[in-house]
Amino acid sequence: MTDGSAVLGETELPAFAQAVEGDGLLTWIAVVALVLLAFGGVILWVVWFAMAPSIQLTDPTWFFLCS
Amino acid sequence: MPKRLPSWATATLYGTLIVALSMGVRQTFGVFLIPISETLEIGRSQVSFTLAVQNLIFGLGQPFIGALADRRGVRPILMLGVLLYALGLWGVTVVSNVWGLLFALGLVVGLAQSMTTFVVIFSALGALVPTQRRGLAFGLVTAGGSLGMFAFVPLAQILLSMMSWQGALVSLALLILLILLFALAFRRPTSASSQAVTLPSSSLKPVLATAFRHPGYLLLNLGFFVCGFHVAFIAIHFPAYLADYAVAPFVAASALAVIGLANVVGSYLFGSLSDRFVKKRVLSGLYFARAVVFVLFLLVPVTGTSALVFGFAIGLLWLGTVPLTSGLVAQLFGVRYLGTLYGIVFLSHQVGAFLGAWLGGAVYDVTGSYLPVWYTALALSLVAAFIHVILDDRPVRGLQEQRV
Repeated sequence: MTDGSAVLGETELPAFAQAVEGDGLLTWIAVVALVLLAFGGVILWVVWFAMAPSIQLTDPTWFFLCS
Repeated sequence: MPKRLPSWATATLYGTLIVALSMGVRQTFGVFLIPISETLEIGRSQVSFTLAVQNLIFGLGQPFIGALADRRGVRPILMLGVLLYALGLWGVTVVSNVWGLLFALGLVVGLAQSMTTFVVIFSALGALVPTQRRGLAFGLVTAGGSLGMFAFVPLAQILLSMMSWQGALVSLALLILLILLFALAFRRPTSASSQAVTLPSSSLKPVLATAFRHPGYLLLNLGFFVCGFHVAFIAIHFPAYLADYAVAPFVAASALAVIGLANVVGSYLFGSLSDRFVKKRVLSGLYFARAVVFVLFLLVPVTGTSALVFGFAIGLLWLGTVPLTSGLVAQLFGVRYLGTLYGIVFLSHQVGAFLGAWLGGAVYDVTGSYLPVWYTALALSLVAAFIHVILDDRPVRGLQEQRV
């Protein structure tokens, strides 16, 4: 351990205030959604750039990207 | 098989998707700026002001929402946040003036964002994830947020090209409602499933007093302030800086996209590193690396290539600070009040972001150049690198021991 927490008995920390009830279907939905976001994101960027080849920097859209 | 995942991995997976959706939609509002401005017949500055208020509420709400999550559990917070988010987005489509917009998009959505993003999810994961996996879990959630930010902007653009802006916004509101499914999975444990003791709620006050007297915690706040300054300055002013050097708008846009994509990798990478190495050293190295990237970018001629390389490099270092900083808060004070204490640190980040965004424009207006702000960003990198070296990261033993 790098932070010394194990010394304090935290390694086997049980959920004192939270727990999660996983569900097989829900878990699959989450996995598929994240994969779609990953691959879909790249495809969407390509499509978008193809649709709008001339992007104006004065468009405030960019002001909020990545902030 | 996913259904055999341990509970901490399941919670991390759900948390990652929740943050991806929430942060993703949050990132799209710039796309709606012009259509909203035209429909309501108000200036862009008024819409921008609404979004500035949203960011302010998002930051200011974090310590309080974090405290609520620590005390009441994350499920009610998440569910209320999702409903407010969807209601706020729908509200934007029916308001008729700037005050309505300010209420729906600024206040309601801003509050909803603070209820459905990092602080609340980390509050839950802090209690569920074993210490040796915490950095990985926090890194994955941060990467999820980055992924959402990367994917949702073009999605919103494409929705706008297919339907009215009101329809696009309602579509995003429906997507946000998906979070409800995953929020329901988080619950308070039964006594049989938990061997730990929940501290009385009044215990928060001495913890806060201890935190605000702890030099390490104060330095963490300062470090995250620097991160906010960097991120906001670059995100908002980088395209204009490139334009001053006649870099094609398409390339500038691509550089921002590269930042978003590299950020996904960087968040995961630094989260993993925080489980293997001393967090404060990794964090110090990250800020020092930012300084190196700034120096190199300022030394080479500004071209499309240098902009893209800079985007990739700074993107790798973008939100890697999140799992490391939140991990250090947990290391210092334990996870019982992680939501509250990380919420306060997050507020520092937003204050830095506000200054980075504002000073960038203000200094440019006065001097006609962004260079003074670049130099400030570089100096702040070095300061942040230094303070994380000297930061006292020893766990506050009294607080750690009373938790379990």
